[in-house]
Amino acid sequence: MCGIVGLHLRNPALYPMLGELLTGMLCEMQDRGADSAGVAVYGDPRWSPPNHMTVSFLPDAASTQLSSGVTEADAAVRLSDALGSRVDVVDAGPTLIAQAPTDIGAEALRTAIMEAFPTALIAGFGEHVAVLKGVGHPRDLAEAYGLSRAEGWQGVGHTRMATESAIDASGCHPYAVGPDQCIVHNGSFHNFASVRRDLRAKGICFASENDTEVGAWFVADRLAAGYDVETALKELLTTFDGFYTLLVSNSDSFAVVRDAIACKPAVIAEHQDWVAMASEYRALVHLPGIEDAHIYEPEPERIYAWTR
Amino acid sequence: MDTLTSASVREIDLAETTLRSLNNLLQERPVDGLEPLAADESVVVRNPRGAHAVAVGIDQPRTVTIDGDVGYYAAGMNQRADVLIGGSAGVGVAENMMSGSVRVKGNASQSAGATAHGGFSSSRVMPLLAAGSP
Repeated sequence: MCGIVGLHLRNPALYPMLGELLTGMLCEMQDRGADSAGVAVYGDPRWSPPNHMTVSFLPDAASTQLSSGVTEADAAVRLSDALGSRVDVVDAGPTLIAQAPTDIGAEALRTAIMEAFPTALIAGFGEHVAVLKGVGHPRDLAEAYGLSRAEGWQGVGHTRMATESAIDASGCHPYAVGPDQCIVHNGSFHNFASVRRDLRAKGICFASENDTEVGAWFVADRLAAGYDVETALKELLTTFDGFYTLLVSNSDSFAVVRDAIACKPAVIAEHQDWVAMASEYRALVHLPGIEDAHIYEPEPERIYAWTR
Repeated sequence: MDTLTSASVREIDLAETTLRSLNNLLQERPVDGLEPLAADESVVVRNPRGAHAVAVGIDQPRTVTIDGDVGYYAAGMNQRADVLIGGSAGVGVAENMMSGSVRVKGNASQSAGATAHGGFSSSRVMPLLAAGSP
């Protein structure tokens, strides 16, 4: 089954409430999947400080604990040694967020992480996004991440009922394989092995056996080739076979797309202060002003996108 | 029981009463803390907040008004009751209706009125898609 949620804030006065609102949405969707839950938060000043590149990672990809087992200070020392310059680390439960000045670049920071923690799982990277993953009940994970205290302009979340791959951190959404990009998915891609073969031939390395990771790399590959999000998603619609509702975000946009049959649920609510999307309406009822929002189900094969 | 009492309206607030208690009451099962419904007592449900399976399995000639939006399978398996949903309804509203009516003032999602054997259902907008799974 799985549940997906997303919130794109238009009114900066709501930025301090992002984490609290997203936590409510995520926990309401726990009945759709309680194997694991992940979130991506855009613009939290503690997780993504200005002028910094950040990489979110789990020190041990095999861990199913709510804590990473590594202190901020210890991780910062090991990463600073590996990089040869200062790295700060912020603890977010099972996930740690490594931060270095923007000019260091994501690649150098990722390399330092894999050198200091050879069994690490990279969850996501960018100047604006923190991607938090873990295995366990969504409510426990939201608490472990400290999600309710997060701030920012945009957040997405996923509650997982595993179907295509194992219950471990690498199977936890969101998949964030391009800078500040991420994707959450309810459904299943059927021809993902064929698409993955094509992407592997281009030199892409996959971190999991998960079908959604293939969708994420497909979108990232097209965006890197210069496509805009809508064009990339149009190509995804014609390339991927399966049942899916997808929420695709990057630092300034937020997009929803469903397959041609559209049997995976989705509800969109648009308000002058925010745009929200969830698998079910009940995940939206606590949003401020929901009674004034325009609420609808997205149509099959139509791309809905909003930009900051 | 006098006429005034039997023709009254029972308000059930889902912010205070559990969904299971509401459905048990509507299905004429005993519920702790709630008097059984009189024969022609109508029911108003407050604060549905998108809950699933609201007012399912009724088999009484009763009027049930739901003040708000509901989730999946609202008013499923209805027999004889007239259910009015004031907001929108999720997947599978009024599935497998045998008789009675289900009206949705807002929009209805997929599988609305699927496998009905009788009765009447209507909504503002119903999707073209008839099939689908949640």
